[in-house]
Amino acid sequence: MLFRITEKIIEPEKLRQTMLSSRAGAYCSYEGWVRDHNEGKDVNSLHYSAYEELAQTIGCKILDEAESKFQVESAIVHRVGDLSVADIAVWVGVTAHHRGDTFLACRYIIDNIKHRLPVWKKEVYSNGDECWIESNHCGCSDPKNLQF
Amino acid sequence: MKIKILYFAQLAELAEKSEETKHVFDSSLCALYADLKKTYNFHQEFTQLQVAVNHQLSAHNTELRDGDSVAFLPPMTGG
Repeated sequence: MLFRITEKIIEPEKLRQTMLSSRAGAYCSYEGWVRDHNEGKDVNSLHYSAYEELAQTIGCKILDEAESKFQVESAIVHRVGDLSVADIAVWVGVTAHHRGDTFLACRYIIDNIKHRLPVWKKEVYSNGDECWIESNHCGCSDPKNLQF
Repeated sequence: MKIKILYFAQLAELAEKSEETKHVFDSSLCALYADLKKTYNFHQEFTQLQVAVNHQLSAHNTELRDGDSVAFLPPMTGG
């Protein structure tokens, strides 16, 4: 289990290496990228801030839940600070004996990150305006995943 | 009693600080937030925020004790 908040660029290939295991038959990862638009506005960059002490507790709890529920090994790395378009904001890695559990666990972890991890995102637009996002409820999360 | 308050995201921007220590006489989180909301013009209501006391998510009716740290948390938007 690995949970990390970092200001450094996320390098998925290096993180994948840390997941390698002769006991695993499947690996699934998720990357959240910074895109250049949101709700009709041109986004230049994002700023992420975190409550690190609490994020460690909740991040590890989410991983622990996923590992119990799906019998997987799992990891989360979340970036904070100023991110540019195309940067990776969050990475999730999961291994298991079989592929099905890795897909389900990866989805469970990212859905819970979005709702429970104490991290906040501010968008900076091309016209110079800035806005703290106040809802992550884009409709993508599977409601079943939010009830352990 | 002496309470340390931690600020994050939009609350930190509005308060123009990441933490401060206050002497308070009321042990309720609701009263503390009402005071901060007025001071810093926070627009969110107490019930819209989660609360952490001593780095643990806590119920809104938790009673404060001398030396506690408190954070009022806007809806999370990571990922």
